Amino acid sequence: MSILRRANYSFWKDAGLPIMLGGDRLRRHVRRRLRKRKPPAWAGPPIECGEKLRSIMSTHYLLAKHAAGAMPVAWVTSGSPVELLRAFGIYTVYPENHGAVCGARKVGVEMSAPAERAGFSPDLCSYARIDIGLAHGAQSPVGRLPRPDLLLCCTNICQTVLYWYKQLAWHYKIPLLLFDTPFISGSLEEHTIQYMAGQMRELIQPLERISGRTFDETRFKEVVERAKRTSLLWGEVLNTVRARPAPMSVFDAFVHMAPVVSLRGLRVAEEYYETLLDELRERVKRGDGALRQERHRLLWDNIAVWFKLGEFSRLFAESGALFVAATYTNAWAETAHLFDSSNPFESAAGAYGLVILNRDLDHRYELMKKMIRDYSIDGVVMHSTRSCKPYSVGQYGLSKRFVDKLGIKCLVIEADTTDPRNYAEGPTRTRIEAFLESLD
Amino acid sequence: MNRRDSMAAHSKAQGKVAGVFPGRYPREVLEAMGILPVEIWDPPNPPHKAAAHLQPFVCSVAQRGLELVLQDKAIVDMLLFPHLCDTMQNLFTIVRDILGTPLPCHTFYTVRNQSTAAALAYVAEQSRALARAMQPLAGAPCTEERLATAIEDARAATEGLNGIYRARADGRWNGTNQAFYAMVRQREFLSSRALAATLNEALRCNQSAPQDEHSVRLVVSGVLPDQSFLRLLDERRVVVAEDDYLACGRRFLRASRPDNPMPPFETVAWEQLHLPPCSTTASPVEQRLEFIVGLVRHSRAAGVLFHNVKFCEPELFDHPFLVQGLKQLQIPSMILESELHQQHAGQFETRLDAFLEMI
Repeated sequence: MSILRRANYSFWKDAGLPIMLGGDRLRRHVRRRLRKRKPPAWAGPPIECGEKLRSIMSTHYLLAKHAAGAMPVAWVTSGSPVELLRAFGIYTVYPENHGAVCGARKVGVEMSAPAERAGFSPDLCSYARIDIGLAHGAQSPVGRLPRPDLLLCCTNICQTVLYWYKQLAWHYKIPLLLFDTPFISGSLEEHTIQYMAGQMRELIQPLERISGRTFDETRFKEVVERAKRTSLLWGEVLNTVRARPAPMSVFDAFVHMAPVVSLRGLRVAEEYYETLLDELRERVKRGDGALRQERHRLLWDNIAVWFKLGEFSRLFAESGALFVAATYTNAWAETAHLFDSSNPFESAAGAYGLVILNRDLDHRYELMKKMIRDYSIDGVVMHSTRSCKPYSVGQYGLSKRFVDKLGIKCLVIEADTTDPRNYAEGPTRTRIEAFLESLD
Repeated sequence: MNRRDSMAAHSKAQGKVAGVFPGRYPREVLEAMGILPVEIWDPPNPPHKAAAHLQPFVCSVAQRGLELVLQDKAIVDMLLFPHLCDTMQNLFTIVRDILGTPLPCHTFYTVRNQSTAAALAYVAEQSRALARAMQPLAGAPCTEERLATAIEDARAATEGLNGIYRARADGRWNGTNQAFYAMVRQREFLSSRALAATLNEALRCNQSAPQDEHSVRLVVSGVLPDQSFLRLLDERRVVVAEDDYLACGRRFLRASRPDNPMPPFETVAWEQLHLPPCSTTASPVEQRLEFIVGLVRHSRAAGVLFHNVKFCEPELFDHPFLVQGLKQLQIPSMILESELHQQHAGQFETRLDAFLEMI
């Protein structure tokens, strides 16, 4: 890693980007004042932290471009033990997060096209196709991601990430480090903990080689502690939504979860959630809700339909229905308490192995049942996405169980995370409207 | 002996029968406990009731397997779900937790980090845990002595499979593809001992038969040999000279075993970890390519056919690289995709014919 590159990175981090983003913020502020666009009648006061979030995430993406050559860059899956990489000063980029951004900007199909031309089936996960498309020359709306020096993959969210990262490893000719987390269908057994902890310890040697740094256990423990605090803070943020009216919606949470996914273990993420938590608590005190009139409270299951985020938000909000909880956003807080910095490897096995998608449907049912109670939920909407089999396969049975055992209204919609070709607007809208009517 | 007879004979001898969904599992442990593994890859019943539980984008292997359970046609004493892929993972929990089947249900995780030092101990411990979980059904523990015997039986079956595959690759086997796989797939319901005897007898009877000189020799890769696909190949005088089928060629040990003896559970684990490379164990694509090219070379095949079951994600991810890699080595290949037991459309046959003409 060259000294010049490092100096360039430091310049952009400490001076270049703050100035650039400051100017950008000012321009947007002026533009908003000039436009004087009125918020929709149903919307409560906006969350002010949104501007800070935009700045943090823009910095993260823009800085990534300057990180290449200055420090090792790792592409990691969302459920990876990123704390270990942070201890080695490795810059992390989350292709899934990038996939979500592409979906939200409605360029999923264009981004996937080069992958499909290279022979990857349209039946594959659309996040993977976007990412492989990027490797094959697709133009990202956030510019090019920095070329990775290594890949870190964890199988706790799905096996798909491994098949996908295997292709990236071959394409970029870089090492693929794997943290394999066996599926847990009951309690976490000792031999499973030892398998996971053993793998984490084995990651140290290649990371030392790639980063040129010696493993510093004290630093690692500090990062683990900070990651734990950040995830717990995110949990607190989600808990504020138990209030009536809810100070934010799940659609807001989908956006505000970006730091806990992408920047977990860094001070900037922790600070952000401290600020967001303060704001949301203030909103609760003032009675400021995400909706002016909150009539129904809903639970969302699965990843967002990113290309329909705004439209779904409006569609539900116009009927006074607000998504107040989601299994997806909860996943980054659910196991945070299991982290123990005095025993980082074994405790990480629990924290990473026991996440929702790595467990059986009984666990998911019990978790959702608790969320239904804690968040005073009136109905559940399940997004059956072609791109995520571990999240989607089993939803039909879960839905029936919610109706039969809890008497709660449940709707399953068929769509995709980023690929609108797997989404039928008319039938979906009709089903949503019928569901909303049934809540009244 | 057919599947039903094998199950009936085993039950009559007071043995238990396990319905085993697709994937890799320690069959030696089941056999050591007197449990006959009967595998569920492609039941004949088309999915009807399963549609209430599985989305249309779920593969027909999972759809048909679930249909069998829903129609109560799986006349077994327990169910085992090897962790083949995300779909099979959730199929296990649908059957156990959502349907609440009264049968004992177990899962067996397929290690993806096969090169890690922690893998062997984990697979061995997982096998022990499975044995403990099956003990109430079996009525007795899995002792090391019984496991050692089961390992020997399984090795004899593996030798039989290697022998019959070698004979076919060397052109010393004469018979249709349908007949070959009908025999090889008896592994899905025969005990290892019975399978070894069957294979050795078949090999003895078939050795001297001459092979059709005008046939086209191919390597076929995919999930499992579908009868209707094999019929198409037989009609076109295509000989499957070797296979990289997940259900067949990728599921028996082709490598030599280590010289130093290990305890029985560790032996089972070692063999699990040294099976041929597979998409579902996330083997590096270079290893998969090397294995397939090896099959092409030693069987003197003219090309490779990838016959995929629709929506099989692990396979779909590897195809672009494998096709490209084969192309660089000037080995012709083609991808065909269909559902299980599907009457192949004209387009499917046309593609196959075009490929055969090309090579």
